[in-house]
Amino acid sequence: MPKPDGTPKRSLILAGGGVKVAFQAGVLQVWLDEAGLSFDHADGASGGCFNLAMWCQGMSGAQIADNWRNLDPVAGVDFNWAQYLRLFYAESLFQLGNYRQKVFPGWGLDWEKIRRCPREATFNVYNFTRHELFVYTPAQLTEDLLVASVSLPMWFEPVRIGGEVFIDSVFNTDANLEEAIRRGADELWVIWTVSQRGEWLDGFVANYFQVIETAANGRYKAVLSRIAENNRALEEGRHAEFGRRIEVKELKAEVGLHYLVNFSRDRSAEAVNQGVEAAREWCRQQGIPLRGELPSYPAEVHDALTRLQFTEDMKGYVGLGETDFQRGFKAGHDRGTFLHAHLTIKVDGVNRFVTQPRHEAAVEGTVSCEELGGDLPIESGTFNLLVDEGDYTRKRMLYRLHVRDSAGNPLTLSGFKEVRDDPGFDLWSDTSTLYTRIYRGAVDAGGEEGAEVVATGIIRIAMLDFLKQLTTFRVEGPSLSDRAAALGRFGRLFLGKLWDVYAREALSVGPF
Amino acid sequence: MIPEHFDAVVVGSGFGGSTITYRLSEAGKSVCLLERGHPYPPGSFPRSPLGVRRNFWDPSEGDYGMFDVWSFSGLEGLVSSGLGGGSLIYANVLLRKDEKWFVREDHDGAYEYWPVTYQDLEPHYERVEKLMGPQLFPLDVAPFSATAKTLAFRDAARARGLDWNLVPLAVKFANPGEPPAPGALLKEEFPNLHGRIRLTCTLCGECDVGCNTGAKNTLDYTHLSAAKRFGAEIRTLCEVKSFAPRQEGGFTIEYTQHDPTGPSKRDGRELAPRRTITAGRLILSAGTFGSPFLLLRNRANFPHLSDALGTRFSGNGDLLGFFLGAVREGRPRLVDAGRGPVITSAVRGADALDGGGAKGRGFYIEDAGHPEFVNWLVEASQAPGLLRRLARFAWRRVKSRITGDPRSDITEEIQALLGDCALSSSSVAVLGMGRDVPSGRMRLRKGYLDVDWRLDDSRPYFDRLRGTMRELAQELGASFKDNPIWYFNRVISVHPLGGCPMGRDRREGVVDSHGEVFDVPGLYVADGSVMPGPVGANPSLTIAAMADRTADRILGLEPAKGA
Repeated sequence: MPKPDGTPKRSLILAGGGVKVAFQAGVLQVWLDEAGLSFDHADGASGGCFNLAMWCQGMSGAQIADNWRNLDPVAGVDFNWAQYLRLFYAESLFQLGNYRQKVFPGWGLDWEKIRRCPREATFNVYNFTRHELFVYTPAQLTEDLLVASVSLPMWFEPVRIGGEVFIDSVFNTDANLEEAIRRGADELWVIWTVSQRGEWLDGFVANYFQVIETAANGRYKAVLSRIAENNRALEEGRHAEFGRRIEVKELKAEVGLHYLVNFSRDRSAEAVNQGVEAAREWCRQQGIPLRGELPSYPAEVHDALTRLQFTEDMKGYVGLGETDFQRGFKAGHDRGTFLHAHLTIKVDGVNRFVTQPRHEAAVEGTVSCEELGGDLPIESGTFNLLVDEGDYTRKRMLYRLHVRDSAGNPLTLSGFKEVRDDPGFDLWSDTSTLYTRIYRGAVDAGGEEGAEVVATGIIRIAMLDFLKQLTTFRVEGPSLSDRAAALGRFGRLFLGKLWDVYAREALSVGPF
Repeated sequence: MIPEHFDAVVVGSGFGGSTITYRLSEAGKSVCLLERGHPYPPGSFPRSPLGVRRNFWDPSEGDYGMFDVWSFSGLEGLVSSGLGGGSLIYANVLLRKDEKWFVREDHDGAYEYWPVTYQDLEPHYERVEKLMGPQLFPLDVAPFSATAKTLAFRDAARARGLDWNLVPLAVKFANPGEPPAPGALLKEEFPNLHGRIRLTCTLCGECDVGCNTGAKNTLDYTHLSAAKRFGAEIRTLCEVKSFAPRQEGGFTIEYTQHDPTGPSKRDGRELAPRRTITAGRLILSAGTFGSPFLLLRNRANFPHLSDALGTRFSGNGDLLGFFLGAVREGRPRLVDAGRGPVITSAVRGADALDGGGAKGRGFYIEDAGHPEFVNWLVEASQAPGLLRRLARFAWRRVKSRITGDPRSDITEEIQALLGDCALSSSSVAVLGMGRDVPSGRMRLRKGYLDVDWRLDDSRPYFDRLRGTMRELAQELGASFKDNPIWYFNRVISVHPLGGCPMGRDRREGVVDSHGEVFDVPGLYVADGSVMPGPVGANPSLTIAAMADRTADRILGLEPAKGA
């Protein structure tokens, strides 16, 4: 219902999604701080309750995002040792004790302050004893209740409060839109991170979360269609369920972070930054102006500045005047138009590199092609390691090199490696095959549509050159441990992304 | 700033470029001719040792001279750089390509197909000849009749029953309507573009190092002076580096303006700024080593150029031979190769295509004189003899003083010091050329031009050619010596041809039979690189005639967009 000043009542729906809600925190940095949006009510379920608690406490969007960026994922892990002797009758695999003792204090949660929250908010938890959803307000929030809201059966122990058993509400509802509507919301702003990909994987762990996805998505979509029907009925002058128009503004994404299994701080920081980028793009499309952009680094500057570089040698053929990759390769092979790219990829700031979704590095080196005039130095170049366009199971490595031919004409070499899981063992060929196109002029990603193609073809890393490449890694940093850590983070990023693409049978998203 | 625009821009002022510039400006088009070298008015060709040393084209060293020397894996090449192109250093022969040598479907050694016939070129040959005014060497008029090398060559050829003739030369021996006379003031219909006086041929033999009297009827006096009168814009010391098609039609051309007082590059970076102009049509006439190189380097701007780019290279069968120490009746025979225009006559070896029972590939052998000062070098090189003569002269003078010899006339002794000059006066070089096999290929290697022409593909032709040279040497009593690099399986060519050959379609050639590049309308090539095989005779007239035919095509079309 519109507020006294006539503006619509806005509800922020912080839907659950395990630790995928790190993405949600990034969205909040943009919505609350950069766009300056305000909400009259907020609802939280499952993991969303964490973000809701922080919102109730009065933290800014950037503070909530930084809390997730700075969270050490292993800190919350607490094995339920005592129960393991009971084997299949164990209470749960893990306990939430570390969340109480380490994570919540680390986030600076102040229960008193949250209880004093002046804004309207609703937390959701399932009361198993009474078999009903329990919606509670900030004034009622306790540490036990917050912990109970994320207590997923089998993974964590149920919480007993006043003799009654409470668990995560996700199997009942993952976003209490009905509560928001009941409280008079006109607009529902939903941040939905539960996967809707619909890829069925086998195994106990995969099935558990597929059950969650079933319950959460099923309920959510049912409510959405009720709202759609309500709006339609209003337009047609029929009786509408909610009696007024309800507008749903949804920002959903496939987040490259597993609901529960994650050991990499870099990966959760990257999920936060993905949320930031997705929200900025979403606001642009919705026509919501942004007041400015905030940094995407963790607030603490403990990470030393580290640099990393390696060289890559790729060779192959391109066909002049061709636009198709296979045909261009064949034409080039027949005519002998050999292309050799000798590249040095330089990562300036490993921290920025691994936590930014674009994973961008600079490229130096030479592109050699007799037909274009011999060895052409690269004036400037960028490399993006394993990036995706929203589907984390299909990634690309992107190369953009600006060179000049021997007559001084500017050329752009734009290439990509297609990293996705096709039948058979294709990891090697995917990561070693660069589909290459050379354009006239200095062309950026947006300008490729209208640019003139000079040559197209395929270049590859040979196995021997790849083995040599592994020996070319050089790391710079203030101390040996910093350097080793940087190399480790780079390696984990690379392997983790490859897991997302090729090893989903083992775990649907890479755990590091 | 909007760059200057011309109807046509021509790159290079050789036989092709000058012809095009003349024809287009005569038709009223705005033409800009960009020539990388200097203009050379009479008297400007260097003769001092330092001048000669610097007279080479090497911009990175600060040399912007006339001779451009190349060395490739299979052969050496010598071309020129200056206003007038090859005409500045050539030996003036204007022969037409033999009618039957326009082969079609020839698979001997390498595929050769001429999509143009002698009949197609005949009107163009006539037009160019009219402008250049070739004259036969006036062997029947004194003092030309005493030119020893021509007489010797003629006598030797006739004794062997070979086909010997005087050849048409683009040299002024006479004013129109007057008898030929050496060193006479030349009367021109219009003043030439250098604004200087010219004399008739003085028989100094310096044709190949630049004619300082202006007797050679080079392109700057013929085509380019006329073009300038018609309003053509001629820019020298302007070297074209890159060109690209414009979206709105036409071309953008970038060139560097060389500063002759210093080198053009330092630390690999160009010093001179680049200028940009645009044109409705672009004609590349930078020569066989120039036009294909420019196209190869700018390949990225023309990705659809034919794959035939770089093919059908040949040296026109060029081969140098030396006749040393000609003898007649036991005594040195006077050949005097330093007197007279470099080339005056030719022996023709028939081709199997001519019919009449000849076997093998056709050729020409031409007497190749040299400048007089080379004779001094030859004599000075006879070091042992010179020391002996110096010693004997010194001894005679001392003896004369000691014995009080009354004889005061020592003319004979001075003469004895100079020796009998037998070697320089009895030797001559010959230049052979003809139908070798166009199996060479030009490509870029590390950004430089590379040509992989192999002598062995044309060995039967060279053996036949050398055989006839040997015959002639024998007839003169001289010993026949090959150019020393022959023993390394190499030749030096002054007539490089091909690289941008013409063909019936884009599979066969880069340009069509009118010189227009396939799939790039408005871009033309008009120089020796369009020849799909050797010309056989000296190629200059054929290059000019082909360019004249290209000019017809340019003038016949509607103007390109952007004009």
